[in-house]
Amino acid sequence: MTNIADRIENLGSALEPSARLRRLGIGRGAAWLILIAILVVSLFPFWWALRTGLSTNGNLFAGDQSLLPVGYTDNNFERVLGTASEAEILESLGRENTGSFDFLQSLKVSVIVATAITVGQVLFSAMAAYAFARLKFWGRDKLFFLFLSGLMIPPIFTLIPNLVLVKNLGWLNSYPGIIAPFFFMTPFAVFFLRQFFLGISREVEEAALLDGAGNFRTFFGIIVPMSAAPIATLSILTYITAWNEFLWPLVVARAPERQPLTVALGQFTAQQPGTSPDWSGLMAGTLLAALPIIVIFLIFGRKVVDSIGFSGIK
Amino acid sequence: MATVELEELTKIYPGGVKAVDAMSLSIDDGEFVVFVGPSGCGKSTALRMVAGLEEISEGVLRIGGNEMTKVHPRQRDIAMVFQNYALYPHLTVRKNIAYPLKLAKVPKVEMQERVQRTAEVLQLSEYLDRKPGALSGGQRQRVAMGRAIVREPSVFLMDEPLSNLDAKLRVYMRSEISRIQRELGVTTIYVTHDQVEAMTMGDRVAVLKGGVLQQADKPSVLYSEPANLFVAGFIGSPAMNLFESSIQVEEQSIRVRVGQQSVDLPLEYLDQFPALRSYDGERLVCGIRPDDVYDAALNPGLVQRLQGDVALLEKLGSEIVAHLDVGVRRFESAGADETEDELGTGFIGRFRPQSEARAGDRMEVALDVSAMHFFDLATGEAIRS
Repeated sequence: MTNIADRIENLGSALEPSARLRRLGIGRGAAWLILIAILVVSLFPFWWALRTGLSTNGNLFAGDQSLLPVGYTDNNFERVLGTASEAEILESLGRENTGSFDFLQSLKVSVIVATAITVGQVLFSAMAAYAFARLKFWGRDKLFFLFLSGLMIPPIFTLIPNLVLVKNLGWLNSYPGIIAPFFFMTPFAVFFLRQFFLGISREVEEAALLDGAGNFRTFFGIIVPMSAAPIATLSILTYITAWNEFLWPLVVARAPERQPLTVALGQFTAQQPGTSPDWSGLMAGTLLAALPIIVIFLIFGRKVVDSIGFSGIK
Repeated sequence: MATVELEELTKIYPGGVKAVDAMSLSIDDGEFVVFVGPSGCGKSTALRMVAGLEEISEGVLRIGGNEMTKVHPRQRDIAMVFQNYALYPHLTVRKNIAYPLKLAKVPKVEMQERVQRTAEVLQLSEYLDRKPGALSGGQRQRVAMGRAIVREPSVFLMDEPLSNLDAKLRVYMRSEISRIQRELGVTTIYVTHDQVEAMTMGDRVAVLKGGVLQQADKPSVLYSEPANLFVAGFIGSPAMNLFESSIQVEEQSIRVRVGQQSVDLPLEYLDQFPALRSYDGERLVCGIRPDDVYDAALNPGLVQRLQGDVALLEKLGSEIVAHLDVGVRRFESAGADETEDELGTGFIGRFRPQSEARAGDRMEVALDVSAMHFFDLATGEAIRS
């Protein structure tokens, strides 16, 4: 007994409050340091873009590596939005404007394309995922794994065949042409939602069936509302991906009025003889182009994070 | 309201597994029938076949005299209550209950009236605008009942609806379901693995084992006249004492061997069960319920007695459950609740709380031999004719 009591006492002294606090303090300090480092690494590019966007081109190349804007100006943002006067352009760019685009038109294209892709992809992926999760048909699982193997095909492989198809359909420089390859579904979206649907109690669907609902009503009336969180997550991820898509619209949308922001921003990288790229314009445009997505993420970010860890309904 | 007839109903899963084997049962209009049996006995599969959630491999199902074997679940006019409630989590209680009416395109005013009436019957009126997530287990169960009741179906099907509730609530809901069923008079099939639920709720209880219907009868008949060893071992808690034995028909009595000891049955027993005579000198299985095993000291009137060592006493207040070693091993009837007798002493008695029996002592127990059961050793069938 004495021995045990001694051991308990020793254990207590080994973990006396100050030692525990010290250990906790070191651990927490290290965690904070790592988090701050990750935060700096993540946010620094945004700051650098903002710093560049608020600088004049001429001063940028003067070699000042300050963290703050060099020769502060907001003309670059006005230039991107098309509200800057010739004098302001000359001031910020240091020369005449050689490359410009209609920001609002490209914003409109980006919104239409990203929205259409999101609606189509989420709708059809959800329907396919439900079929793969619940409906009984011959070869269902084999078909699913075949479909899933599409994840392993690099998108670049399908670029040329899709381009030929879209060209033959006469859809170059059109919304259908930009949207079509992404409209229906992606293996990831189907996989993501199927996993969730598998976790929904089968009894709920059976209850709906006995209550008089068919497959479509069960899906739209019961399953979709029950899956609001993962569907919202998928929608946001799809929207962001569609918004950021660059290569495909670059290939099919040569006409300026059909170029989404990602492609249209390329105007700023076009280098005229004897001039350098318009970095400050590009950064201002990039920030403005990223703004809608940043806002969406700020509003729904918590939901996305929660939903990615969501495993099913009890 | 309708009759339900199961005629040779069989379910064979891909791969050849027979979950339900030629089950035949006729359920009267308004009757409350309970399917009971151990896990995997096919009771839920049988219920799901009636619901239309499982395809019927062979046999015929009739509801209200109409063949429903291949009819879509929606058109069977049945309502089902599920084990996990199966409520729609995004809808309020009101909308959950109203959902089947909405699909049936019932006029709005009538729908509201029926939902209100149902909520009153189930004492859910104050929760109508809550979502299922904000309800307790018992309330959720009542909502599931409400969704079934509101449709006014011909048949209620209930698949272990109380198994997720705590013991106290289960007892309450048991009486509630019985009350509601009696009030509505709707034919009901209720599945459970809990024999207490089965015995207390059902007008009739159908005992299943390995997909085969063993016996379907009133609870009292199942208890007092089990058709075979399985039913004898399954119904009743603690389970019936079953042990291998032999009988000898003598001039004055029938001698029943209990290990190295014996008890005597009056010869009149043979008048009641003449088939027993053919087992004279043969091995068979003898059974006696713990309720018919008494502390001899408290029951001087009973003369048939056995000596036994007390292995364990469970003092429950209202009674004492005594585990005794009388020199026999429990006969293993497959499917019976083996946990009842983990000590393997083979013999349990239920004594009055006044009993002075002590663990470790040797004592005398008295048997009400008129309540003895005999079963064929090979077939397990009760020797009754």
